[in-house]
This record gives sequence, C-alpha cells and structure tokens, in this order.
Amino acid sequence: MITTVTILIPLLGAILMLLLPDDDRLTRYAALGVAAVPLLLTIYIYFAFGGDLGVAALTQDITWIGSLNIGYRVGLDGLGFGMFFLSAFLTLIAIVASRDVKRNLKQYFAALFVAEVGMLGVFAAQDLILFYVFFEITLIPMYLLVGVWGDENRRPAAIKFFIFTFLGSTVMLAGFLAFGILANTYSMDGLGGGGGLSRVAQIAVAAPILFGLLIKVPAVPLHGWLLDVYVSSPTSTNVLLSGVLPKLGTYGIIAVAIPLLPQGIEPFLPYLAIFGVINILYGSFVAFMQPDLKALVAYSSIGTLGFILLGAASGNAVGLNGAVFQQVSHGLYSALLFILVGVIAAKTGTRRIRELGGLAARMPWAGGLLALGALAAMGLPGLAVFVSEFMSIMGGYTTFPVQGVLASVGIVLSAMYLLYMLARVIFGPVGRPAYEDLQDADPVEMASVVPVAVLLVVLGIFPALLISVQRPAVDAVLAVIGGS
Amino acid sequence: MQTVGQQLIITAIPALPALVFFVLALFGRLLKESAQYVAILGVTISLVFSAFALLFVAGIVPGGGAPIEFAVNWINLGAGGNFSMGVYIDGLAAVMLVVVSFVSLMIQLYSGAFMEGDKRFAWFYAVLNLFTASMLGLVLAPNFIQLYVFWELVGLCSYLLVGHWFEKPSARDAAMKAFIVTRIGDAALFVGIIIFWATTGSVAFSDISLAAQSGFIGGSLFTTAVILVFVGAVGKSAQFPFHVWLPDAMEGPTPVSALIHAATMVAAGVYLVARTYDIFVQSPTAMLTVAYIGGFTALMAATMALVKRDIKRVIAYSTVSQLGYMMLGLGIGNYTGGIFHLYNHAFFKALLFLCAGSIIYAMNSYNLFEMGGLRRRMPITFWAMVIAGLSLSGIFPFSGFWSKDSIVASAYDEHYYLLFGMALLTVFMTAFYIFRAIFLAFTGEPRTQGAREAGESPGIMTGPMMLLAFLSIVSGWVGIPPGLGIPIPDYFAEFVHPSEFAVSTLNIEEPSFSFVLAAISVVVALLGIGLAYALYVARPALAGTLASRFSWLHKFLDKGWYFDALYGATFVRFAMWLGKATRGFDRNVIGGAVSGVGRGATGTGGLLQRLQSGGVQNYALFILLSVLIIGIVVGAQYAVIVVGLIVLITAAAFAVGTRL
Amino acid sequence: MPGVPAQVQQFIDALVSAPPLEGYLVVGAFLFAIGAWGALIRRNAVVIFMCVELMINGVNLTLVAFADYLPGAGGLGVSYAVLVIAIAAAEIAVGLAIVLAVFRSRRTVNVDEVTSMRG
Repeated sequence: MITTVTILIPLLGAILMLLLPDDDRLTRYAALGVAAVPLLLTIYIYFAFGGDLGVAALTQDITWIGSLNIGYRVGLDGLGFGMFFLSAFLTLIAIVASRDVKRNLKQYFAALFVAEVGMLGVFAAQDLILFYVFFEITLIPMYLLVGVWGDENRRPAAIKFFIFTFLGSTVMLAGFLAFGILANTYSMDGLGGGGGLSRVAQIAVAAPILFGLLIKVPAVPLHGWLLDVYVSSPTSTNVLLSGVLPKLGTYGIIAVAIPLLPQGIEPFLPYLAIFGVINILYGSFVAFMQPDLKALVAYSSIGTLGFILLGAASGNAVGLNGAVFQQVSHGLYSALLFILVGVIAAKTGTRRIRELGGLAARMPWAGGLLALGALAAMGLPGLAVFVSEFMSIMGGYTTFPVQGVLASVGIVLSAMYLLYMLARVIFGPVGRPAYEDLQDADPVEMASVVPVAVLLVVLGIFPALLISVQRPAVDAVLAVIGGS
Repeated sequence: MQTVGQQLIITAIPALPALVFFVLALFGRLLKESAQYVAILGVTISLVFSAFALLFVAGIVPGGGAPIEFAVNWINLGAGGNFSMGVYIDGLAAVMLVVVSFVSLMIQLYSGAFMEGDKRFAWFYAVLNLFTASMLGLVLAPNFIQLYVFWELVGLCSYLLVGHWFEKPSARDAAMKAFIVTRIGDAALFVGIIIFWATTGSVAFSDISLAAQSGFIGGSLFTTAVILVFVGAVGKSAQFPFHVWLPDAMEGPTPVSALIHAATMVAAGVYLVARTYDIFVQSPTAMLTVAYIGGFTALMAATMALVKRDIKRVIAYSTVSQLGYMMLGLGIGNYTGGIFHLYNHAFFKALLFLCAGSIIYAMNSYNLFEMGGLRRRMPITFWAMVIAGLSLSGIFPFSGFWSKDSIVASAYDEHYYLLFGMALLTVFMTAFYIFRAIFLAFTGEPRTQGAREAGESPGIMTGPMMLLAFLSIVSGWVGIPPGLGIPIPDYFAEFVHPSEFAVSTLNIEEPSFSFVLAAISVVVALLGIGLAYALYVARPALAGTLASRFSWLHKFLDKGWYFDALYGATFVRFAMWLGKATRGFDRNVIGGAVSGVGRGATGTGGLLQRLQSGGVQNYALFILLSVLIIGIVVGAQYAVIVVGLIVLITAAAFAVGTRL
Repeated sequence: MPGVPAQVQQFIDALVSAPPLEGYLVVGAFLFAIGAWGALIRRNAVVIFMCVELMINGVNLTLVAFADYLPGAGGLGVSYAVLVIAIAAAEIAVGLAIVLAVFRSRRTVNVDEVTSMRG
C-alpha cells in the first residue's frame, strides 16, 4: 500500500499544481512540500524495511485485465529501491534547482510530478505491462519539459528525444507482448527464470527488449538523440534526464531482461559488455574535445553509464552489485554536475569552456563542488562512483577479461578530460575581467547541490548503507541465472 | 592481541587528521590563520599514537611484540566477495607511520610562517591534513583495495597542493600533469589488483601471497599482474618512464614538495613494493624489472639534476634518483637496505626542501644563478643544507651513508655488476649536483640585489630544519651494520626485515659489511664534491666554458632527455587527435544518421502525401485494392480460382459499368 | 406433361425448381462489382451513392442466400441483412445531407472538384 501511495502522491501533486493560483512563490513552496512526501516515505521504507528487500516487498496486486493476466502489481525490492529513492530525491532537488524556469511554473512542476509518477512506478512495477505503462508515462512530460521550457533549439531536440525513445519502447513492448503471450502471464513474479519458455524463444524475446532498453540508456551508437536533449533542457530537467531516465533502461536490463530471460539474455551478455566498454571509451574521447561544458558533462555521463552495462553483463555478485550501485552513484554525480553547470552558466553567461577560467578564486564553493563532481566522475575513492566502478570492472573482468581491462583504460581517459576541464574552468587565471566580481553560489543554489554532494561522500565512505539493501535482491537474481 | 582501546588509538592515527580536514574545510574561513593550531594539534596526537604503535610492535609496550592486525567489513557480499578496511602494522608500517606523521608535523610547523598571508591558508592546512590522513591510511592498509583507495587520495591531495596557486597557469598545468601521469600508473595497478582478485578471490596481501605459493595463480599471468602493480609504483614514485611529473610538481608550495614529493607520497611506490614483497619475490622477472628500472632511473635522474638552474628542480631530480636507489635495493633483494634508505631519505630530503624553501622565502627566487654568498646571511640554512647534502652524498657517518652503502654493496655482492657500476656513477653525480647547488647558493659573491638583502628565516621555520638536520646526522645510526665493529646492534634490520618466505625464496646470503666497498663509495662521493668545488668555487669560469663547449649535451640534460617533448609529440598529440576524430565521427556520422532518420521520415511522408489526393474515389480504390491483396495473400492456395474470379468479375463489371 | 421433349422438360424443371446457391452468389457478386465499379469511376456524388447502394444490396443478397443455405446459423444472415438495410437507410440520409450541403456551398456535386482534404 505504501508503495502505491508513494507512487501516486506526485500525481495528486500535479493536479494540485494546476489548481493553485498564479503565485510563483506559493507554487514553489507547494511543489517542495509535495515532493518531500515521497522522499520521506522512501526514507521511512529504508529504515523500516530496508534489510528485507530480497524479494519484492510492500506489494500490491490488483487484477487489471483478467483475461490477459495483466495486473496492477507493484512492490519494492533491493534492485529498484536505490533508484526509487533517487527518483524521489532528485525530483526534490530538481524543484529546488528550478530557478531558471520563469514561464508557466505551475505547468512545469505539474509535468515534473507526472514524470516522477512514471519514474517511481517503473522501479516498483512487478508486471511487464505496468512496467511499460510507467516507462511511457515518463516520456510525455519529459517531451514537454524539454520542448516547452528548453532553450532556442528545444523543438528539434524534443522531437528527437521522443522519436528515439518511443521507437525503443515500442520495440520493447513488442518483446513484452510476445513474452506475455508465450508465457501466459505478465507478472514478473510468474515469469521468473524464463516463464517456461524454451531457450530459442527466450532469445527471440530478449532481443527486442534489449534493443529497446539500450536506446533508453543510451548505448553507443544509439545515443544520437542525447546531446541535443541534454544541452537544450533547463537545469532541473537535466537533473532527472541524466539522473534517473537512463536508469529506466539499465534497470530494465538488470531487473527484467536478466532475471526473467536468463537463457535468452545469455548469448547477448558479451555484446552487452562490449557496449559498456564502447560507452566508456567513446564517451571519454568525445568529451575530450567538447567546447561546451554541458556537452562535456553529457558525454561523461554516457561514459560512466558504460560501467552499469559492464557490471550487469558480468553475471557475478561483485559486478551486479556494482551495476546496481552505479545507477545511484551515476545519478548523484551527474545531477551535481548539471546543476553546477547551470549555476555557472547563469552567473557567467556562457557555457563555453574556452571563455571560462579561474572561477575557483571567485566562487570557491561552486567551483569546489564542481571539482568534487568531476572527481566523482573520474572514480575517485571516497566518493560513491568509485565503489560502483571498481566493483563493475572487477565483476566484468572476472567474466570478460578483455572488456574489463579496456574499461580500466577509462579510468585514465576520464581523468584526462575532466582534469583538463577543471584546469580550464575553475583554475588558471580569471577568464574575463567581468568575472572579477562574480558572486559565489547563493543559499538556494547551495541547497540544491550540497545534499547531493553529501550523499556522494557518505555513500562513498559507507557503501554498505546501500549495498546491504540491494544485496539480497542481487543474490536472488544470481540464484536465477546460476552465477556466483 | 590488542585491546579495544588500543585499536581505537591505532584507528585514530589516520582518523584525526581526516577529522581536522573536515573541520578546516568547513570552517576554514572562520579560523583563518589559526587553522594551523588545530592542524598541529591533530597531527601531534597522531605522531604520539604512531610512536605508540611503533613501541607496541617492537614489544616495548606490554602485550605487544607482534604485528597489529584488525579489520572491519567495508563491502560485504558474502560468498560473492568481501572487501574490508583494516589495519596491519608490522615493523615496516610502524616505521612509516612515525616517519609520515613526524615529517608532516615538521612541515605543518614550518608552513605556518612560509604560507603566512596566503589567501587559502586554512584550505592549505586542510589538504595537508587530508594528505596526512590518506598517507597514514595507505601505510596501514592490509589489502589492495584499501591501499588503492588511499593511494588515489594521496594523488588527489598532491593534485590540490601542487595546484594550490592555481591562478598561475604553470601550477595548474603541473597539477594536472602530475595527476594524469600517476593515474596511468594507477590504472595499471588497478588492473593488477583485479587480476589478483579474479584468480585468488581475495585482495589481502597475505592471501594473495599464499594463493600464489599454492599455485592458484602462476606463470605469465602472475608475472603480468605483479608487473602491473609495479607500474603503479613506478607512477607514484616517479620512476622511468613516468618520472616527468615530479619536476613539474615543484610548482607547488615548497613545504608541499618537502612533505609529498620528497618524504612520503613518492615513497608510497617503494612502500607498495615492500608491502607486497612476498608477492614480488615469487616472480624473478618482476624483481629484475624493479632492480633495473630503479638503477636506470637513479642514473638518468642524476644526470638531469646536473645542469638545472632551479634549486627545487635539482632536488626534485635528486628525489627521483634516490627513489630509484630504493627500488634498486628492493629489486636485488636488499629489502632492509631499500626501506632503510626510504627512512633516512625522508629526513634529509625533507630538510633539503625546507632549506630551499627558506632561501625562496628570503629572496623570492628559485634560480641558483640569482643567489650566491648566502652563507653569512643565512647561516642556519647553510649548515642545515650542508648536513643534508653530506647525508645525501653518503658521506660517513651521516645517515645517508649507511643505507646507500648497504644498497651499493649488495648490488656488488649479488653480482649485479652493471647495476653496481650505475649506482656508483650515480653516487658521484649525486655528490656533484647537490654541492654544485650548495656552492652556487651559499658561496661567492651575491649575484643579485635579492641575494644581498636576504636574511635568515624566522624560528618557526629554522626550528624544524634544525630538528631534521639533527636527524639527518643520526637517523642512520640505528642501522649500523654489525660488520663495522661498533658495539651498537643493528636495530633497524632486526625491526624491518623481509619475511622468512621472502628470504628463503630469494636465497640471498646475510649481507656483510665490506670496508673496501664502503671506502670506494665514500671516495667517489668525495670526488664529486671536489669536482663541484673545483668548478663552482675555485674556478667558476670553467663551468660556463664546459657548458658552452658541450652545449648539445647541456641542452639534452637540461631538457630532461627530451622526455616531455617526446610524450607531447606522441601520446598527447595522439590522444588529442583521437578525441577530435571521435568528436567528428559523433557529429557527422551519428548526428548525420539521426538527422538522416528525420529526413528519411519527412521524405517518406512527402511521398505518401501525394497519395492523399483528396479525391474520395482514390481512397475507395485503395480500399478495394487492399482488400484484393489481402484476399490474395490469405487465400493463396486458391490463388488460381480467386484470380480467375476477379478477372471474370472485373470484365463483367466493366462491360456493364460502362453503360451505367 | 406429355408431348414435351425430355430436354425441354429438363430445362423447365430447372427453371421452376429452387435455384442453386451459386446463382445467388454470382448475382450478388455481379451487383457488388457493378456498384464498386460505378462508385470508382462516376463523378456525380448522387450516382456514387446509388452505386454504393448496389454494393450493399449485393452483399445483402449474399447474406440472405447463405442464411437459406445454412439453416444451422439460425437465420443470423437474415437479421444481418435487416441490420444492413437499416444502416444503409441511415447512411443515405446522412450522405445525401452532406451532398446537399456540398452542393449548396460549391454549386457542384462532382466529386473530382471536392478535394479540400488533399494532404
């Protein structure tokens, strides 16, 4: 019940937003209040049930379309909990960081909340069709958020986003339908371990599902839609776009494709690992020469997503735990970087790396936190990304040595372009005379980044906080696929 | 076995500086210059606790006498893997703990004056403490993952401290270079770690050693993994071919160079090899690699130091060279000698940097040729530097003599004659370049106004220098070899010694002290000092003549054998090119494909649009044709009948219809 | 009937006995085809409507014929035919109203000239 309540509260929030009078201040406070509720509920779930999420708990099962065996089945397990929490958390952060949205604030927040419904729902869905429905619910509000509130290039960007991800999800739906028809149920519980399908049938079903999910991630070379969308969106949309949306794809791979189609996914695993490595290397190299700060962060995000694919493909405890953990740490660091890029762009009026410089002297907090985010992105120990990256690479190496070694090269590459970026943006002589009297981040901006940074550090030092929750569920997946 | 209280004390050794870091990072702006007192308090307690650990391991504290060992789970995946954070203190680690916290304390005292008035004073102290915490954590590590965590963190601190004056582009670029170059080594180390983990299922040093002994991993894979770990050490310890970052790192504040780039962090590579000695000795190839890389680096860096004009860079190359000695010692099996040199080197090299810092503080110049005649104006600095120089040159009975002689002699004893020759040549050059620097700075007439007006540094700076100078003389006396005939036992060798397993695997004899070899190395060093005296005090004109006669050689050495140019032209340029190429690919091919899809959709739509003529009868025709096609497809087996019927009906309808 | 040749008798028998199913189907198909052809080539909207009626009635004839031929269906075909007739009536009512409206606004019932739905 509490799961359903958590998922639906943002929906009520969206309606509330539309009913409010036209007062920006009131709207912001109301949105903060609404967004806080799911977060508090997930924190309560963590403390009350956190150790007990090996199989989906807090479930609810309502028949929806009886003849097809489709149901409203939700529940939380350790695989989804981290992202469930992060969706609620980042929505709140996005609302705090939404100062660059000036027009139609109520509608903006309403769209944001509808997106949150979809995101929360995906990570709690225990039914394939419901998973798909929530998957698609995120799409429309995201399309609007980019297409209405983005920068001058927003319309083609939003359309690209829509076409690509819609194509992906349609193909995925075809796979789901075939799976459900063959297995005669859509309940993930009933489908565990292949739902009685033969190996060939599983492979045939797994292929479209994987393809659809990989577009969402996005795996290179299916990432064509990403750059324009990231660059055009407002900051607060970026937070969700990079922090949560790619994880719909990776979560689908980890929680749907692998445990439900263990034999079908198996021939694809080496390629999944290769996709991961390509993401890591390709993202780093493209980021290397990016003149635009936001584009650099976007490609860095593509790169670090590769570790999730690698870990997911590994099929062992270390790799899978790393992949599940990396979903959260990636969300944290990319949210941090995107907000700070937004802050810097708002203050200096440019995102071009060449025109920036020496910001650390004028904006020690914003600059320092940007450095923290960049260091997190390059996998510095003490920050959450390191934990998940080393586990993903370790797991990946154990199963696929070549891919594991190549992924380690990413450690060097990410250091190269991120340090180069830091050197050009926050260090060195002050880039322009006008920057001499820049103000540091104000309290609201700090409020949007400091919680994220704190979480990055805390999870980096005490990874067990999250690993203890996800481990039983990962063990259950391993039991299905017969890994160790 | 230790009590919980003792474990807490051990844990506090790295935890206190870490706490200080958080306090200073958050409240540094309020504390301003009083940040130093918080920092010094923290590191003093750490030093006391480190001393306690040393006494405990040495068996002087009741209940001690054995290595301290405990751990807590960090990431526990049950059967799938288990990574812990823990403590392992044997003699080696205990000595390192004391060295690190002592030098750190000295540096923090000294920095109070040196960094006075800096705008990021508190931040400087914060990072110094983060560094101290990380370095102590690294020393305590019982397994590879913990080591790697702190290994990276000390790299981060080095990055932040080298780039402390980041407004200067040179400091900023040096910081970036230092981090990236060491990170290449780190990645290799990481791959080595995962190879060990994947094959043995553990990351603990002792487990891996045991697993290798019992054959879980062996052959070329094992050698590869060991060499990869060594590549990590090479990066951190600035050995060939990764030595290029250390001279540039001198852009950082001088106390940082003393702490990080002389005494502690750069020694981490040597420490890593020593820590994992039981693993290294199982691979003769790896041991030879260590020895030859060390020997070559020692020689190469010494030649580079010969001609440098920047006092800090002379000392920096000297550090690279001395680290090479340590590697050489470890590689040929002289474990104790290598670590002994690390321990002595920490004091005299930190002192050299502090002396350089004192000069820089006094006259704000790094250039040796702008100094001169500082002996009378800065007597304490002068004498401290002479002591450090004698120690570095390995003159009896200064501390450097004992350890350097041990390494050089064992190269001869173990029949590595090539390495012995290289080491001896290095001894000569070492003595020459350090006394060249001393003579240029302190003797003769002042060459600039700055040198004429220089004055001695304040007591808070000279105090640590005098303490270190004292140690530079006596620190080696705890390791006097028994063969010398002095009735002082060799405490150091009793305390820091390789495991029995390593000794039996290497199968080396007990090193014996040889008066002949010791005399040779001292004489060679004295010759070096004499040559420096001849060229820079007795006949200063000669040095310039030589430099211009052999200008190509001079330039070759001054440019550091053109390594920077070589790497710039190959790796850096290649990476840039690859970055540009991928970006072009991303924009043109991937971006083109995306817009191609868009254009394709629009084009197809345009074609289909033509079908929508608006004429209702066209639509009806399409419907009819579609039905016919479906009928043909569905009724394929009746194709003949269907086609016949259609033809018949169409013909008849035509006949009738035309008349309608 | 005496005096009539056997062949003629057979022909008369065939004429007066119930015609075979195929006959109805062929006639229905002819009606449908004629209607379809007309609906496709005629330009006058009213004639098109008449042709559509022909098609509908062709289908109706088929339905009724099958209803007779397959008694097991319980007269379902007849009730369908009735339904179709009712729908056809409604369609004519709506359709003619549209044609009238088009004629009022454009002074023509030529469908080739009514192409405002062009894509």
